[in-house]
Amino acid sequence: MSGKNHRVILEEDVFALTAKAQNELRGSATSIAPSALEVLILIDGVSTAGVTAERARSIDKKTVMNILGNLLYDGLIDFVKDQAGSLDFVDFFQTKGTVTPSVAATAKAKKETATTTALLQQQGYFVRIARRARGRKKPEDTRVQSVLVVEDEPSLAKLLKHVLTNEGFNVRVAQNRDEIVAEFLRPEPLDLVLLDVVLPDVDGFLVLLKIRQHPALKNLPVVMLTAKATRDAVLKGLAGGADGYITKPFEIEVLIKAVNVVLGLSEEGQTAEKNKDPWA
Amino acid sequence: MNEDELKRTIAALHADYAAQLPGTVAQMEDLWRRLVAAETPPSKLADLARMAHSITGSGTTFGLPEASRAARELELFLDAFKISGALPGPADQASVAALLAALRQAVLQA
Repeated sequence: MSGKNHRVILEEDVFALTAKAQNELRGSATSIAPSALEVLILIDGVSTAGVTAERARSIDKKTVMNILGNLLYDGLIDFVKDQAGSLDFVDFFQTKGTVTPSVAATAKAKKETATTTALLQQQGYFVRIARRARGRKKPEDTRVQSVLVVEDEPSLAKLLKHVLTNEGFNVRVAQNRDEIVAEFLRPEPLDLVLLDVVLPDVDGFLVLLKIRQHPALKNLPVVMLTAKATRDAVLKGLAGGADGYITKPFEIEVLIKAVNVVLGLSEEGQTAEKNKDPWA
Repeated sequence: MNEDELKRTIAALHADYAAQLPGTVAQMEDLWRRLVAAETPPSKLADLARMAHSITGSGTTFGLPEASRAARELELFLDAFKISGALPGPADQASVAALLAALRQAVLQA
C-alpha cells in the first residue's frame, strides 16, 4: 500500500510505472488482475489517462479510470512529476487534420498576405513575414535560446545550423516526423521552430496544426521556411498559426532578422543582447 | 565562430552542395526512367516532384539560381500529375524529359 488516498483520475493525468510495478511485470507470476494488467502495460510515462483509456480496447473508459485509481492506490503507478512537460506524442501524427483557422486568424493572414503581394510581384516568389513577439526577452533571461530546424535537405540543414549557431542559438535539427517527435520529447525546452513544408513523410502544415493543438506546444513560435511560395500556401501557414513565413531561396540576413523579431530579440540578435551594456 | 570562419564554412557548404547536385539530378533521371519503364509505381512521381522541390528551395541559396529556376519549372509541371496519381501521357513525358535535361544543363553549367 502506498498510503495514497483514492482520488478521481482526470483524463489529462499522466502516469509512469513505479519500481514496484516494474518488478511485478518482470516476475514470473503476478497477483495483478488481468484487466488491471492490461491497463498497466499501457502506462508509458507520456500518455494521458484519456489516451490510455482509448488504447485499452477491451475495457470501457470508466473502468480504465477506476483501474488507474486502484493502481495508483496500490503504488503501481505514480503521477509524472512535471505534467506540463509531459507530452502525448505517441498520437502526435496519428490523426489526420486540416488547418481550420478562426475567422479572425484568416482575416489577419489575408491582410498580411495582401501586403506582400507587391513584394511577390517585384521579387518573384520571395516572401518574408515575421510577426513581432508579444514580449521582449527579459534582460535577466540569459538562457541560450534553442531553435529546432525541421529541414530534410542536408546541405540546407547544415547551413542553417552553422548560421544560427553563429548567432548564438542552440540549434537542433530534425529531418522527418520521427525526428520531430524525438526533438519535442527532449526535456530541454525549444524557443522556436523553423519549419519546412515538403518533408519526406509528413506535411509541414500538419506539423504546424499539431503544434498549435498541443497543450504544451501551442504557444511555441513557428516560422515556416519553405519553397511553397503560392499565395494560398502563405495564407495557409499564417492562418494556421505560423508566426512567420519565409520562402526559399532565402537570404541569410532576412532569416536571422525574422528569427530575432519572432523571438522578441533586437534585430541584431541574441549575441548582441548578451553584449549589451545593461546600464545603457 | 568568427565571421571569417563562418564565411569559410558557408563556402565549403556551397562547394559540397554543388559537388553533390549532379548526382542528385542523375538519381532523378534514373527515377524518371524507371517510372516510364513501369519498373516503379506512378505514385513515385511524387518523389521526383519532391526532389525537384528540394533543388528549387536550395539552389539559389547555394549560389545556383539557374538550377533553382529549372527545378521549379519541373516541379510545377509535375505537380499537376502528382495530384492525379497517373503517369503523364507520351507528349507530357517528352516535356518532363526536356525539363530534366534543362535541369542537368543548368547544374553542369554552374
